[in-house]
Amino acid sequence: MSNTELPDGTTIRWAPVKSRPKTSKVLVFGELLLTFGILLGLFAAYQVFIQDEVVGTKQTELAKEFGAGIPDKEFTNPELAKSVGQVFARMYVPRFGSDWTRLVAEGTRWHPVLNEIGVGHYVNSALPGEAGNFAVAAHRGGFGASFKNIHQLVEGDRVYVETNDYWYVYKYLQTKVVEPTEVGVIDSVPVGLDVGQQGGKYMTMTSCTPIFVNTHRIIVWLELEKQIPSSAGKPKELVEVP
Amino acid sequence: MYSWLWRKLPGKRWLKVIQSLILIGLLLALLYLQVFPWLNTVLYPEPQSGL
Repeated sequence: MSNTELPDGTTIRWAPVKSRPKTSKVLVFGELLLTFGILLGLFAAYQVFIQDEVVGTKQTELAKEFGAGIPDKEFTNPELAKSVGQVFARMYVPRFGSDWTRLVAEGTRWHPVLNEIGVGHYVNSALPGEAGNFAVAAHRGGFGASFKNIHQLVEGDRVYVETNDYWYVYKYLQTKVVEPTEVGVIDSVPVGLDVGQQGGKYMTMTSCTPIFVNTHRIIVWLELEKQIPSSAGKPKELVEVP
Repeated sequence: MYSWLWRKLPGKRWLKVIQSLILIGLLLALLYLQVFPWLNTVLYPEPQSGL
């Protein structure tokens, strides 16, 4: 900036003006902290509001396309499903919605069963239709939240389990909330089941409760009502969509 | 950092606003489609066995 000559002869010397203050390190640090905070918020929103929808839809699609006449997508026969992750059945729970369906795989590990496939069968618990307790687990919140509405199951509800050879229809018995250590709930005669007796053909659904707190386990017991050969086709209760 | 980015964006103010929105959109897409699903598998290892 040049000097300015005033009429009375004095000269004003303009100091060079910096166009903008330089970005300081403190400012950048603050901006980074803010950004990180916003990212954490976005991730929390993803986990609570979005991922169940995304993963759940994926698991439903997986269950729907499985079988459908594709040779290498046949179910493993339940008695042969020995290694974790082998899919041997498909579940339908009308109470969870008419389009709710999930594959059932051996084992209750998070990977690759509960998080990716959906429903896991407790290793060493009975198989569908067998005397004893066919026990399965699934997530309540997060990773598709397959059993999110397990607390809504009531008297009169049915759960359908489809394998290569049979449709198994289980009817609701009882719901109970227990400590995670009370593993007797998946015994062949479930501990805590009021009507439990030796030789009964039970099914147990387990999940976490309360949703996202997960300090306890919610248990739903069911009992085999009937068993229909696959050749008879999909049970009509499932086919007719209200 | 952000003021530096704002200065780097070419054009008039309204053009800068549009460019900023596009950048934010791209970032969100990257986060929600790639980063968060990946984080979810990394942050939650196999839990202890039990019920």
